[in-house]
Amino acid sequence: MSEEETKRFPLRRPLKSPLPLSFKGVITNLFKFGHIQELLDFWTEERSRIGLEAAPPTAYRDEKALNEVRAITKQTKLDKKVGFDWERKETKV
Amino acid sequence: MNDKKRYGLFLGCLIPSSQIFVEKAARLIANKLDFQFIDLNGATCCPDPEISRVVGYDAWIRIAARNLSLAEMAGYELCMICNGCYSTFSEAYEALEKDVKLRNEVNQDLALLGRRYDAKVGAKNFIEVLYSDIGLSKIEGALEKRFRGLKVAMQYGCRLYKETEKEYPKKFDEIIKTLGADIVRYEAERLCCGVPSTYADPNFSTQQRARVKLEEISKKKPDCIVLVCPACYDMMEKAEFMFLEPEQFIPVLNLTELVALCLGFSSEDIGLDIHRISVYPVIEKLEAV
Repeated sequence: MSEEETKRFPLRRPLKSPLPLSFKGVITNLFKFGHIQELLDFWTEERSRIGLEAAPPTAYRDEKALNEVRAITKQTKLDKKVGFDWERKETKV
Repeated sequence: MNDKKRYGLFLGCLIPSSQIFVEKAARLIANKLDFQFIDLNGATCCPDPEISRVVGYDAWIRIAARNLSLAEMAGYELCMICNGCYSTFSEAYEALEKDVKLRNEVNQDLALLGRRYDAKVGAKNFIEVLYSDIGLSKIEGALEKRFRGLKVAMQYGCRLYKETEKEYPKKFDEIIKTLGADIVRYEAERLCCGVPSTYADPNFSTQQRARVKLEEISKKKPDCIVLVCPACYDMMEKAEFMFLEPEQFIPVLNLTELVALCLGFSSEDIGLDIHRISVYPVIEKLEAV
């Protein structure tokens, strides 16, 4: 359905993405963090404790890099394919 | 002028966010063996060679090309300490290097981000860096400690077998032997740890893959399991908590940690206390050179 049709006929919109439930976490994290695993506070503290930077200079702390990954997912329509909700930052399952 | 060999260090996702001792050990090794890891500013997930590739190949190859372009623009070879990342980049590089039409399509999209990838820079596994670029003799000459009587079970991981001509398992073995450790052979050595099948059938993955592998390893009573893949690490450690009693636990370590220990770095330097399964039985087998 196009976006226009979705607005006109909200109850006809697809309720589920074709994404298997077990894939949801990895794909959702890729959209949210630019990485498939979140960098939790515990690990930033542990990184500092052993002498590493609290976060590496990747999408974990580089918003431009994260936005470029998001732009690619939009260019290639991956967001539509997996039903990623940009407002809720969640994937429909 | 600094003439040290330089590599763009690609960390991936699992290592900087939960296996930080691998990152720390790799950085320590570089300092000691006189090569330089340059942080790849703006890197992202490679993306992963299983789910992301299957779900959206077009996004997968573009994100991979974007990461490769960071190293290419900076003029460094890209070095991976994660086998999954290595798999993604070696496949993406091969596809983009051979298929000019695909490369042009990818570059049209990357141009919107101000980026371009010409397939001049590919992927290098850390094993290759240690074995071929640094060399076993230089590593041996820098050792401050060696293992004595350490029995090691190797978990190569599937991806090391993908490029047979590069002989990664053999090179991995040679590095381990240089450290003085003894490799114990076991049945099911080439069996997958089970991670890829987790997404289709977690029960099959743990029961028919990880458990079988762990049982075969346990029969040989090694002092530790050594690997180069963060996904294998997670699975083997998880399997031990599922199927072994605490007194049967076998420490699981990354190659980088063993090398760093033998180069004279301490447990505190590397962050070995973070391991959920204690690795101190391994440290006890170190002797000064």
